[in-house]
Amino acid sequence: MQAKRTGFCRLSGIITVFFLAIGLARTLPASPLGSAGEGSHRFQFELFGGPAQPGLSAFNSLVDYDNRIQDFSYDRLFDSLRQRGGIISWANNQPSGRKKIALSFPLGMRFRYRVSRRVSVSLGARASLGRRETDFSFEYTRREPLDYEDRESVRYFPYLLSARGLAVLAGVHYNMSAYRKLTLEAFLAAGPVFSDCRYSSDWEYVWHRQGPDIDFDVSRMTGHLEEMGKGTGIAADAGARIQYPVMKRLAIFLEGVYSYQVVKKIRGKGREIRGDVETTWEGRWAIKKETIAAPWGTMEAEFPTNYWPEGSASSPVRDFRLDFSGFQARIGLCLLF
Amino acid sequence: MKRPIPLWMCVLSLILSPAGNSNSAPHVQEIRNEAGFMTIEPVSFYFHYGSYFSRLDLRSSEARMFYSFQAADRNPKDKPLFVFFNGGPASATSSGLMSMYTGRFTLDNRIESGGGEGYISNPVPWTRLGNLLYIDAREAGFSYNIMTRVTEELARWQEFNAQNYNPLFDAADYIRVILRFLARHPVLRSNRVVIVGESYGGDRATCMLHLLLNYAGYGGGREMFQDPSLSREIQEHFEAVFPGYLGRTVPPEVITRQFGHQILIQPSVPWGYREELTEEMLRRPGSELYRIGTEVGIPFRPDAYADRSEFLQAAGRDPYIYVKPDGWLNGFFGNAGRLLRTVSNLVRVTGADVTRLAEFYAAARTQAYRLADPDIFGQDEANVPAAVRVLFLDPAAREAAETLVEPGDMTAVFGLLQPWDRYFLGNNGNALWAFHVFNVAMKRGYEAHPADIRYGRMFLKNLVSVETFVTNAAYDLVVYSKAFAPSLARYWEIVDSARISKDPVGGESRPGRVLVTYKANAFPDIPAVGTRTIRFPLYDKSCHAVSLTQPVELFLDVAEWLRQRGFVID
Repeated sequence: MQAKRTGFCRLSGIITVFFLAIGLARTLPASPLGSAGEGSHRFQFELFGGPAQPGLSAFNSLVDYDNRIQDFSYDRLFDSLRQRGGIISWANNQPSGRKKIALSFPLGMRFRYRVSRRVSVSLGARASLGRRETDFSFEYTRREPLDYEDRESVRYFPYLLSARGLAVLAGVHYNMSAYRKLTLEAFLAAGPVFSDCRYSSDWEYVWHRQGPDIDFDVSRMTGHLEEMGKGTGIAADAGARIQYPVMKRLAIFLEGVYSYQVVKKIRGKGREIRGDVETTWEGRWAIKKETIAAPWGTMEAEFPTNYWPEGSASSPVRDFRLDFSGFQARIGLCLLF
Repeated sequence: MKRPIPLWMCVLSLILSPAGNSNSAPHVQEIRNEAGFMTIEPVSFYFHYGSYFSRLDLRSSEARMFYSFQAADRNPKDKPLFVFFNGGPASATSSGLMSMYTGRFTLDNRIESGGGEGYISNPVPWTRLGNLLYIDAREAGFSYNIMTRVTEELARWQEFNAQNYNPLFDAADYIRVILRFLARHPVLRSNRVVIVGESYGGDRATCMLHLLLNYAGYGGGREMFQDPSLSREIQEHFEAVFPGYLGRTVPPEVITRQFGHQILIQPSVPWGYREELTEEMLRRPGSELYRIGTEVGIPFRPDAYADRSEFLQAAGRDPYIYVKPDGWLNGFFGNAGRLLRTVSNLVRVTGADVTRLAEFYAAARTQAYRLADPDIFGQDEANVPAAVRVLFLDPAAREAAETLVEPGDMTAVFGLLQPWDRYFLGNNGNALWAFHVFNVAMKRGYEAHPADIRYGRMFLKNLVSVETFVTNAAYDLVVYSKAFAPSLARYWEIVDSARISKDPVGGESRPGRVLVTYKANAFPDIPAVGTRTIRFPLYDKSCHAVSLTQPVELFLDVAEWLRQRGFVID
């Protein structure tokens, strides 16, 4: 519900800005340099946004890791128990699962100054937000001899991945006239990016045992896990655009951009609550390699974390990169004055 | 109405040493007999197989662990500390080793099982060898747990699970008691400690020594069981004993200067392989089971019995001593449990005035519990291996039923307990169930069952640096001594061979050794181990409880073994 409301507000904001821009354009006096798209204005103010497929593969690998841990700790364990005769059968009821950040919707603005007929410079900012919040649960049931049944269920409310970046970009733009009023443009922009990320979950775990003579919760626990991080990196955009004037002082444009946006050094706090025990820490995000060696099998996995307890046997295998890089299609409004 | 304390108790309290109690007791400079309860606060620990975030978190309940200390006959400050415990797990030490020819008073083994009305003076007290510390396991013997919501039966059932009962946490309990006892007795703190475990006590000793020798790994994420607060407590202890290691991990070769000796009486370790081999060996023609079958007129047929326990039950023989009728050894344990519920007996055996122990009184244990269901021992046993049922659960069920009304005079002296509480339990059936049949750690795939082969590996690693004495009792079919060496050899990834040598060394009355030859790279962190020797004397008339059936022989062998290792025996 919260997510829907946030999306609605964002859309409302965009529409409001759109109509405000049109209104403002109508109230401004005509420029002596000519109409929009004809290079007659010195200054431009632009708003843009559009869907993007951010990289974020390292951050999203947390989902793969959690899925693999679940598979190893439940499916493979129960398979092993069934093969050895410890249980008769098992089943998992899981209507949905953890989800990765697949799409983001960067929004940006820039001021431009035309230094010549074909060349402009700009200063602007672009905010990227990738967020995936899911509520889901699973329940493993195992049947044992003599009508005993164990049910282990875990409910996540929610399971959240969130990554944000704010890039401040200085750019240079080269434009040329195309067919009729259309203008074509190529541009480059670069600058620092300030990012943060957050991985968190609230969960409830219940183990219920049922049999001919018993029917009770063997154990029940609630918990919370969060790992956060902040860091600074470099962002750069390279793109092309086509612009069309809709009024004297207002144009719309479409951009196709490749954005490079990588933050390598990220530090942050972590907190975990299991039952009535709370643990907090602070550390640098890096990729950890785990080898889980259990009697029923071995699993190797890599995942990002900022938890590096003192005396721990594991050490980082490589840096973690919060990487928003990827292609983006943008639509924007351009206000000329 | 509270009854006045009898006159004899007042007299005894004057002539006997004071009893220790509570963790806040001051440091004791004088070494005298004492008994008490050591409080173990709730502990957070976890199991994992290499992944911190997919661990199984557990938090124990508060325990009040009963201990009894008997000072050495001479120069106690210079003598080692022998730490005694029985097995089960969840079986009492008070009615086991404490009552069977180790302390100053003992049950009389000349009286057949179940007989006798009191304790006699022990002709071979181990107080000649050193100081003795007996510890009852969590919820066994006189030890009891504390919980909130104690009146709710469902909540009590939840207590009997891995957070309170698993082999490694059980061992951690014992280490905590020992280290706190030593901290409270500075004059003993640096003395050598000899661990004496019987039956499952062999597994417990294995876990304890592995925890002690590798303590950093039990707090830093490397081992399956993680108990960071224990790891810190061990570090603090060793920093006090070995000041040169302030702020540094103390290596095993230094730790064994204090914890370098174990005496294991019919140890179940290595339980898993030993159990497999025992069944295999006893099913071979000519085994003890065939001989028993011939004697009792019930021929042994391997295909007719699930395991040896079933056959021995049918044959009416005691698996702990197959030449005696069924229940013979449990009769002694039961007798000790009954006698110790009479306060004067407990005072006599411990040598301490237990009436001074506040934790004994009903008023101090309103949150205490011993059993989930006060009326019946209500666990389904159909899904349980015959051996576990016959050896552990059935006796515990019988005891729980027999003690619905407490025997002895403890109720009169200390007050009436809640229905789910008991002054004494020789075997805690609910705790046994949690160890053997159902606990969440075990069910989640962690090697938290005493029979898991992990514990044999740990025993073999301990053996590299810990001097070891293991009894070889001829009549014991529960822990079958003939399977001991072959079961060690089953660890082929560690061991090249484990063979028995009967060559006498230095005029020993009962020769016997197990020579364990390790593989070249048996342990990554230990260079070339070579061969290690386990003293393995034969007790040809002995049951499982060797100290009961051949006390003099055991005492002499232990004394000689210690003398050979530099211990001063007066």
